[in-house]
Amino acid sequence: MLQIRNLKCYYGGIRALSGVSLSVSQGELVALIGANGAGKSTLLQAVCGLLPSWEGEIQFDGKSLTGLKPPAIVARGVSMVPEGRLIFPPLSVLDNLKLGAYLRSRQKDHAGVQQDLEKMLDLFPVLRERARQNAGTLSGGEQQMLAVGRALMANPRLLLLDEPSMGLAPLVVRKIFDTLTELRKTGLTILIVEQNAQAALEIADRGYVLETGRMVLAGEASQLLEDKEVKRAYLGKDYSKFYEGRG
Amino acid sequence: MQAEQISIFIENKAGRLAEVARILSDSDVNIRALSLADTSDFGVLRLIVNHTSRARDVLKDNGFTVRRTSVAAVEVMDQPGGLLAVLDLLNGAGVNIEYMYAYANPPGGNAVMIFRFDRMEDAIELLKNNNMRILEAEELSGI
Amino acid sequence: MAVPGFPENPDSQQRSQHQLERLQETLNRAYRSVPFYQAAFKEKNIDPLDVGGLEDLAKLPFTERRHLAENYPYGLFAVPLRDIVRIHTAPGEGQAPSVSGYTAQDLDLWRGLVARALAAAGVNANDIMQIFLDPGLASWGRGYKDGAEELEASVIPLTALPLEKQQMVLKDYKTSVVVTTPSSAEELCQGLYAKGINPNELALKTLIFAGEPITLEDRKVIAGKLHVDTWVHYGLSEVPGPAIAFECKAHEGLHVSEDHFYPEIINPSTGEPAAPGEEGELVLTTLTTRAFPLIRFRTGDRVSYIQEPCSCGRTLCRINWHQERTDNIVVIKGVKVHHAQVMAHISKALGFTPTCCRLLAGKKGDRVGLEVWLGMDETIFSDEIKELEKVVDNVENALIQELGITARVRLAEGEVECAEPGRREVAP
Ligand SMILES: Nc1ncnc2c1ncn2[C@@H]1O[C@H](COP(=O)(O)OP(=O)(O)OP(=O)(O)O)[C@@H](O)[C@H]1O
Ligand SMILES: [Mg+2]
Ligand SMILES: [Zn+2]
Repeated sequence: MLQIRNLKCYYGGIRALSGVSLSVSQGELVALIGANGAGKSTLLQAVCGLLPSWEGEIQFDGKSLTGLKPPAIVARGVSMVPEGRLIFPPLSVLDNLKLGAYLRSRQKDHAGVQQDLEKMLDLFPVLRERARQNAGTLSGGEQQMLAVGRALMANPRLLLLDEPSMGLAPLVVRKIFDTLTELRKTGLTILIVEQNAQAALEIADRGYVLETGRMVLAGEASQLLEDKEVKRAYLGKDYSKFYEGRG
Repeated sequence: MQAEQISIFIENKAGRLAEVARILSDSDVNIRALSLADTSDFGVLRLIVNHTSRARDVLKDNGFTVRRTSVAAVEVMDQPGGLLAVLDLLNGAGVNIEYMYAYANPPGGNAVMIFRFDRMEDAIELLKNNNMRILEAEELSGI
Repeated sequence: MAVPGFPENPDSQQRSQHQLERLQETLNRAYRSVPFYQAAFKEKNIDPLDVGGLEDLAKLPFTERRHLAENYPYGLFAVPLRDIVRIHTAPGEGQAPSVSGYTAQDLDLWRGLVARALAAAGVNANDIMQIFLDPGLASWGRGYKDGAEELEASVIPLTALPLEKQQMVLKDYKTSVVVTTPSSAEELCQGLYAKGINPNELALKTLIFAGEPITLEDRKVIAGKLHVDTWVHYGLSEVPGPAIAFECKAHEGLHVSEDHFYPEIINPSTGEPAAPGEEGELVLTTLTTRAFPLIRFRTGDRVSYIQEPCSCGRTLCRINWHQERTDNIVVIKGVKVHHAQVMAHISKALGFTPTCCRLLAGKKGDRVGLEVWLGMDETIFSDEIKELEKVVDNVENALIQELGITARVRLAEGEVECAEPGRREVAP
């Protein structure tokens, strides 16, 4: 469904992605993990058309996304839950959700939007409780749910999430990730970027490991969870007491 | 005092011996004495010829591996026990014979045997002291 | 071993996406973790990020067998030793052997690959599989054992039993599948006939050839004598990879496991890609291996692509595996013997390096072995037979002692054809 080949992104003279290739098939939940500054967000932004320029090839459903503006990409069926949620605090929860369907509203799909709004409120009952509250009054976890709900309101076929677990308590993270698993069961394709490798790989089918702008590993999520290198670098297991030499 | 022999390596297959003979004859080299030692796979052909250097060169040119070896050509009385006398003498002095063979048409009536000893000089000294005649190189090949 | 995220038989676009991803990851890891690869890339002024497509692989330097020996023992490992769970040794080029390591995941992967190849030959849980390989192929023996166990077949692992005992096992244990090399199969066949065992008394139905290519005629003869179906597997001894390419039921060439190994065919003299359909040297790059990545490894094996899609439906590309080799290697019962390595031992035994030497797969008595033709020259030559016989004995003894190879040394007049060493020729 999503095919990225040889993606290179620059911030001024600095290369943030050095020829990265990645793919997500229909119905998959794929995790992209990596340390701070590895380039994970940069990759998602390139897919969503948020970077002024990039090199390489990004295809969605076999068609290139080169040169498309963000709304056009959303229209193709790609939505993102950005890093730090980026909800609009002064607006109500409902209005925030409706914003996610902005394009559809313009296309006068009011019935569809209303229907999906109900769906979101079913998916996240806590949002129904606080539907008329200002989004700024929500807890971190609730804000994250709102951000996911808002992205889903665009009715995407591919959902991108940038560090949904950031700053959340483990229990809340579990709840958000459970929701993702549910969504995935409905046929939604998901690419999730995470520093919390453990949580992401536990729900993912496959995973990729990005290291300073370069892809160094990929495989089944269950394998990556068992991978010694992944464990050392991303799963917080301390192996430093072991001998590091190589003969 | 020592005579010169050339040895040639040949694979044990048909026609090799004839090939050597043909090459030598084409170069007007005459074979004076010849011995072939062989195994199932290969053989060593040993020759005394009238033109040793030329023989060696033409054989080498034809791809053969050739070596020159010093041997002793010893005159053996053409009578019963003639060879035995020589062998006894050497044996008594502890000289070993690596190989020996007969010379084809010796000058004079007596037989001539070609010997390769493990200690060439000692052996020749011994034979001479016992009045055995050892043919000079020219005497052998010059005929 | 299906690839996660990709269908069992992906179309060419999906295949190339998968291959490119795995290739780039492999290059990045190798460059980061293996000084040898980093140095080789830098020497060519190449960064892994310059490989933006599969076709860019051609810009990268080759890895040759000698590099494996030069980096003895652990120099080419891409993970710390504590991640390694198995270490294999294969006879290398020259004095040092080549050592390869495997992480637990690498072993899983191999098990899956071998199982896939065996399954393509119809092996299943009902089979009793006997592994009859030269002890020099012990690491393949383990690979086959693991792969067959994955399919829940009953495995009789590789043991150093004499031929007679192997025959007893074959008959009494009702072996249905034998994995062996073509030359060992021939020995087995002759042995059975010599003992008057009728192939009809055997449960044997499948014979899998590994280790060396086999001609169609030889194959027909063995298949006919033993009343079996035969299958060919291609592998490398440097990695315990007995099933890098395998035959399917169509028996038209071998499917390459290109989801785990990226194949190239090059002109062995120029190093350039061979024209489509043209014969050349097989070059392999590992795509999923963790501990011991190989980048553009020159196999020395001569192959050509089969262009048409296979009737079995697999989309893995197919090759024909040819008899000749492109390097100085002789294959004796599947064990690769390198010219340089044999020469090193011959030189040591002689006390000097012979000017000319030719190596062939041959026979000593009824045993398959190495035939060494030493070209006669003035250094070796003696006018005394016993000296020459000593040369033969010394060399034969050195080879059996140092390499475990039964050798027959023959002395040749003058120059032997060294120009085309290593061809698999059976001496008269
Ligand atoms: N707007 C920008 N201007 C300049 N450099 C940037 C910009 N955004 C990101 N970078 C740099 O690009 C690199 C990749 O950043 P990116 O945000 O994609 O990483 P990340 O993997 O998402 O990290 P994190 O886990 O911290 O979110 C980093 O070195 C970062 O400093
Ligand atoms: Mg980020
Ligand atoms: Zn097929």
